[in-house]
Amino acid sequence: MSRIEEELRATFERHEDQTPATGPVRDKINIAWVRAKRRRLLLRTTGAAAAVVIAGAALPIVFQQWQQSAQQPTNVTVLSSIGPSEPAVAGPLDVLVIGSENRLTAASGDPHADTVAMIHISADRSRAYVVGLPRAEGSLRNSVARGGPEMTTGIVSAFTGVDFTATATVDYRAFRAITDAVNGIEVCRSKQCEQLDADTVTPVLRTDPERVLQALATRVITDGTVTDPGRIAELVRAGGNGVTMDGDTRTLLGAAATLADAKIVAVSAPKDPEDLYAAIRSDGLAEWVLANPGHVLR
Amino acid sequence: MPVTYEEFADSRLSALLRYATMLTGDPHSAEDLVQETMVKVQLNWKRVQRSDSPDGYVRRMLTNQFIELRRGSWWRRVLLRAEPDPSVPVPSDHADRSAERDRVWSMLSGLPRRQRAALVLRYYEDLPDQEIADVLGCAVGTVRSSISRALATLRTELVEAR
Repeated sequence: MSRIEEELRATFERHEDQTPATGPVRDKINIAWVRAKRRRLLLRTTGAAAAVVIAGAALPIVFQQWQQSAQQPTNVTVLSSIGPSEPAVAGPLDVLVIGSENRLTAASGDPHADTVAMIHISADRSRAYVVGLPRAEGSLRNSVARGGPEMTTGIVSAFTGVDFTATATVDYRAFRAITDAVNGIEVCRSKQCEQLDADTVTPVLRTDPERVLQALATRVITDGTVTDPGRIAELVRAGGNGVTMDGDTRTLLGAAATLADAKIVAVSAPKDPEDLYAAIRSDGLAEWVLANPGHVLR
Repeated sequence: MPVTYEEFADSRLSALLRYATMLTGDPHSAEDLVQETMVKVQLNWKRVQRSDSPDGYVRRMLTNQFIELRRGSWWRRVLLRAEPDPSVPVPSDHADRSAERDRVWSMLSGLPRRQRAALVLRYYEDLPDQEIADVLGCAVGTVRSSISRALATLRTELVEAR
């Protein structure tokens, strides 16, 4: 054995007495273990809140008369009533996201883009696809005015064949507040990226909703917000009453905790979207995206 | 009878702490590293239990944790807490040799973590190269080359220090 090897052995042996005592470490492990279990529960709830924020990055739809609807939207505070022990849900999830104008803007009769987005979360939870719907769906305009999110969901389900787990409706004020709370987002269109803040996000929301949604969701996931209870609480507070979840939110929230590693892919619908809808229904969007790279927004 | 987590911790914790001390070079980091690993061990106890050798499995977990720790939380804790090692009293007639050994100890912290782990596994844990390769998840040849690289680095630095 060489001299250096002998010295190494001696060095290691000599420093054995620096080894910490077992007893206190054992206690610390037990304390940390209890905390880890608690944190696991907490992660589930914060993941749920993250889902609201992600889903809540909303899209515009003509919404002028919605504010007169008698229906009382469920407030985002339902979160506090959702237990942390929701079972993890298998299978793909679909969420319909509806962006609504706030009352002030809506009352002015300003015409808006007629778009709704779907979020498809793959069964393996590796991807969340944001799919912008074609704007030409005239029936949607009427549906929202007449029946609110429920009717909108019904109509989108009818022409896409997709059963939605839940619907998220977010008004623009909430959207701006969330954008502000994440310190702005970067939205890229044909390789040109721009930094958007609370004041500049609304016009882009109207023209390129799925890009904004993707940017926000990516931001929330990549900057670690998804796993930071404090940050999530801030965002949910920022969204406040402007975020509404309808449908099987328990299922959605139960699955949301697994989303922390998901990649957000934004997809625009082609002129003939039947294949796309079929891919969503069969959880085959990964293949569809490979076959239709031109419809993936970058 | 499958071993329970409690039994495992009773019999193996002190050996793991010694190993972690050699890896990290200081008792606080060793504590944090072992704690973090053991919490994971507990979370995944069924899987650990089912493995051929729970002992080896946990050593692998701990080693990986040490090597990949940029993302782990204990690294941050270590940075915040970094304190000088408490000096160990040295018998005067061996002062020169001891000083040299301490120099080796502090040089170890300059090595890439994989190399340091390989050194500890061979010269402290006395594992054969094949088992070191299993722990590090690489080929035996890679183990040998990283050990000889680490030894060369130490040798050079020792010469320069003299």
